[in-house]
This record gives sequence, structure tokens and C-alpha cells, in this order.
Amino acid sequence: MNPVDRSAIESFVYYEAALLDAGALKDWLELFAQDCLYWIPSRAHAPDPVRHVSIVYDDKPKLSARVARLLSGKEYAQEPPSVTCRQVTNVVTRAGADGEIEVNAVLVVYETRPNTAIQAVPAHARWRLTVQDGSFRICEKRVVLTDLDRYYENLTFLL
Amino acid sequence: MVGHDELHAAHAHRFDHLVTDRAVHREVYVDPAVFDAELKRIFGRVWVYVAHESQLRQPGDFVTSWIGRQPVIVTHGGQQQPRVLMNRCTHRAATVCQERSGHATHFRCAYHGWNFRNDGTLVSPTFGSGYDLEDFRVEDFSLGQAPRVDSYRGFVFASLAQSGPTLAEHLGNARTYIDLFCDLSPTGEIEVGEAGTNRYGYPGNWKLQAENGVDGYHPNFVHQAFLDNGRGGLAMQLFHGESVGRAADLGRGHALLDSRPTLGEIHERSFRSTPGGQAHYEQLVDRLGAERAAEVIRTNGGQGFNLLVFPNLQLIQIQIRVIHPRRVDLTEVDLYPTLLAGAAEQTNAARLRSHEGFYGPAGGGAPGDLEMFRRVQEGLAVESVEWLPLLRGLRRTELGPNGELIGHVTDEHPQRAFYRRWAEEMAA
Ligand code: FES
Ligand SMILES: [Fe+2]
Repeated sequence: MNPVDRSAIESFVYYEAALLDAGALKDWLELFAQDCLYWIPSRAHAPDPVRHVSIVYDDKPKLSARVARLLSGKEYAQEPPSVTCRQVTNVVTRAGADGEIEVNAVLVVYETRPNTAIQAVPAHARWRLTVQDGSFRICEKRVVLTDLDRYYENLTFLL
Repeated sequence: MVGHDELHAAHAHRFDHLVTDRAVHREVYVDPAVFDAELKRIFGRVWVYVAHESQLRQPGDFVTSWIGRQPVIVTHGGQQQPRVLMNRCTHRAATVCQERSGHATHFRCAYHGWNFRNDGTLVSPTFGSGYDLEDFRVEDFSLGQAPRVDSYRGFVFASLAQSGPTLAEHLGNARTYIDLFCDLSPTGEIEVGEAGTNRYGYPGNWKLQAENGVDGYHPNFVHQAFLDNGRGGLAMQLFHGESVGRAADLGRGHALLDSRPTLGEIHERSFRSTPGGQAHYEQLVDRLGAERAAEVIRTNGGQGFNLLVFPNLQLIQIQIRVIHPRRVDLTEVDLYPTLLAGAAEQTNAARLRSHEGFYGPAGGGAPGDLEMFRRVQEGLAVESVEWLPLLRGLRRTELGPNGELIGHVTDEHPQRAFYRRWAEEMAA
């Protein structure tokens, strides 16, 4: 039997998605543990951060700096800002190591800015969650883009 | 300036009148006829970077790329120099290779099954009894090949012209910086491809990226949010109006932003105290001698400069950047972060993290440039304002020891250098 409360976890990842769609980036940042990783690798299989470049490889300080930059009003790739609508589906949860919870899901982010066509960014997302003071914290969020060969014009919004 | 219509009448099939020593005409970026001519006169003739030898270690290894818009396969067939094959079946023209890299002894066209060896020769046509020998000689149907292929420090270039300047002549002063880029490696070798690729595209002309990679005027504006972010303002000094940084017109359309006057001493002071830095330093001294090692460390590979090699290659920080023109208003760019062969794991990892912070489609810097290219291309639709000035620092360059023109890091002589060569190629 799965010890993990699946509906609570689903509620959490939907809440996370809603924060991003609402542009509540500071609230979103708070969901991450101090020792965290927000990772968009540039290869699907066995990405190794020591040898392979990523699209994003942010620990908490880098992620905080990213959020600050996105909110600074001077990130011109976000002027005007992206509007996103994201779907999180096919959620599968399981108990991970050290009391962590592993969540896998399909993530599709529809993104548009005025002056640019809408883009669909499909991906497989994976979270490692922990429970701190009765609420979930994200230890790792990894987003593996379906089309890694694509010449993306803008991925400065958060996935 | 002279009205454009008069000029146009006088130069029906020439385009060099679209560039002066102080301005560029909007048609350079928006006219499909200019774009078509660039593919023939520039990409169809000059040396174009296609691969790095570290991607082609074993016979059979290959990578694909483009010369202009023409798809090519670069193969290691066991011989000295890689071959640059045209990725175009000699039957009905289908591309015969769909991968970006891999290992293959043969390329089999899927359309009617013709099979080519990785030296380009056709094995035999399928259902061979349907061909009469008087019509069909197998040796006439090898894959096309770039007539000239040469390399420098493992950088493989091809030229589609039968004759012309040698690669060494073409690279000229740019070789100094390719050397510095590679010499930071303890072995003098860099690894390309192993670290993967960052890719991005933008709805704008390819030259916007070419000129931007050596534009020291824009960073404090476009990249302010990144540069000013808790770094004590040092990064904002690199490209300030009062910066001590320099830029150079290296000749032959190549250009350089030089941050060594600002960062060189910092690199010298801090290099040996980074994790693995002392051992790395000793390896450099062993291989290069103390004097050259110090120079290399001052430059810290490509961290000390941005190099543009005409027409579409850039060496910036740890990356090899290749700009692919797709349409007059569409460009795609490959960034290949390099690993230093023989360097400590943490050294390469730190270089990758630093690269990711700024570059790539989600980086803290590059997407701002892409947004500017999009805006420029949109603004270029205005027809009544025809010229884009390149006047900054026109009267404050000086001649360097190797014939280069040196000036302030925020000046526009790098762009003037690029367009001078552009006009030369487009005239003939
Ligand atoms: S097109 Fe290649 S075999 Fe016909
Ligand atoms: Fe830039």
C-alpha cells in the first residue's frame, strides 16, 4: 500500500502550478526547501551536471536571484511578461528515499506574450518533496522538456 | 546621405552600397534578395565553421551542421582531415542523415534506399538491373563535398569555393584568441559536444546576433538586471562608458571585446585559489612556461574576451557559438559549452554553472538580447528611416601591433569591422 496521501500531493502540485500561472513568484519560491534544486536539463537521459550543460540548474540562492530578476522590471525578455496556463496530469506518486515523496507528472505549459505566438511546452516533471512543519517543501523540481532539440525563443518564464 | 533609390539604380546586383564606414542600411536586415545573396557570396564562399575535431574522435563519428542553409555531414572517415559531405541524396535530393551527431559507416537514404559510405561514395543504386551502364556510373553519384576543408586548433572549417584565401589567412589575428581559448586547458585540448548544446532562435536577421556578440555598448542596459544583481557593481564596470575595457577590429571582419584590462588581475589573483586551481596552474606552467601560463590565466580562456570570427562563429566565455541563418528574419543559434580536457571535475562543473547563469533560452542574459533582436526586426519595418548609424568611437581608435584597430569597449568599431568585410564579399 502506498503510504503517501495522493490527493494531498495532487493538491500541492496544482497549487504550485496556480502560483506560477498567477505570477506569484515569491510565494512559489517559498515552496522550495533551503537545500533545493530547480533543474531543466538539456538531455533526457542520465544528465550529469558535472559534465553536461543544463538549461537551468538553480540551487536556492540562484533561484532566488532568478525570481528577483524576473520581478525587477528589467528582465526585458519578460517585458511584457509571459502569460501562462499549465496542466499537470498523469500524476504518479511514490515514497522516495529518506522519507521523501517522489512525484512524476506530465506538465504542459502554454505560454504567450503580446507580440509573440502562443507556444506549448510539453515536459515530464518530477518533484522530490519533503514534509516540513506539516506542509510540503520542494527538494527538487526537475523538468525534462519533450523537445530538447528545439530552438526555443524564450524560456525565461518558470516551468 | 544619398537617396537609396539613386544608389539602387546604380548597383543592380551589388549590395555593398548598403553599408558605409559609418552606417548600415535597413535593407541589410530585411531584404530577401540581400539574404539570398549572402548565402551565395558569403556562406557559399568564405570559411565557415562546421565542427570541432573532439566530436570526431573515432573513424565513423559524424556531426551535422549547415553552411548557410545548406545541410552538411562532417565525417571522420579515418583520413587526416574530416570530410564535409553535402547532406543531399544524389538521387532525388532527400537528406540522408537526420541526426545531429552519431557514428555510422554508411548513410542510407530512406527514400529509394541508396546507400553511401561515410566517405560519400555510393555503394550501388538499389534494384541495379534497372540502370544501364551507359547512363549510370556509380562514381558520378557520390555525395557532394565541400572542396576545401581545413582546421585550426581542432576547429574544422569548410569553404564551398574551389579556391580563395587559406584558412590561416582567413583567421588572421583571430588565431591568437582561439589559442587563448584552448590553452586554458591543462592539455591544450577542449572537448566540444560532450557537454551538450544550448539552442535558441529568434525572429530576426542573423547579423543581429553576429554584431551583438561583440557589442560592448548594450550590456549595462539590456543586462542590467543580471549584472547589477548583488555583485558589488564590478560587472557593471565591464561595459561602462568609463570602463577600461577595450574592443578591437581584428581585420578581415573579425572583432573582439576585451575585458582583460578590467578582469585580468582578478583572474590572476583568484585562479590558483579556486578548487583545483593550483594543480591546474602547475599543469599550465609545465606545458606553456610561466610567462605564457600567466597570460592564459589573465585571459581565463574566453572569460576575458568575446571573439567574432566572420561570418557566424563566436567564442564567448566557455562557449563556441554558431549562428545559423534560416530566413531573412529567422535565425537559430547553437551554443556549445566546452569542457577543458584534463581539468578537475569541479573546474568544468563551475564553468558550466557560470555559462548557464547567463546563456541559453532561460539564462539571465541571452534572452534579453533575443528580445532586442525581435524588437529591432519589428522596428526595421519602418521604411522612412533608412539607416542605422555606427558612429560611436569613430574618431578614437588606434592602430595595434598586429594591424588591429583598438578602441573603447563600448565603441562600434567591431560592427564597422564586420560590415566592412560584409560589403567586400557582397560587392564581388
Ligand atoms: S532520394 Fe535518395 S534514394 Fe531516392
Ligand atoms: Fe547581450
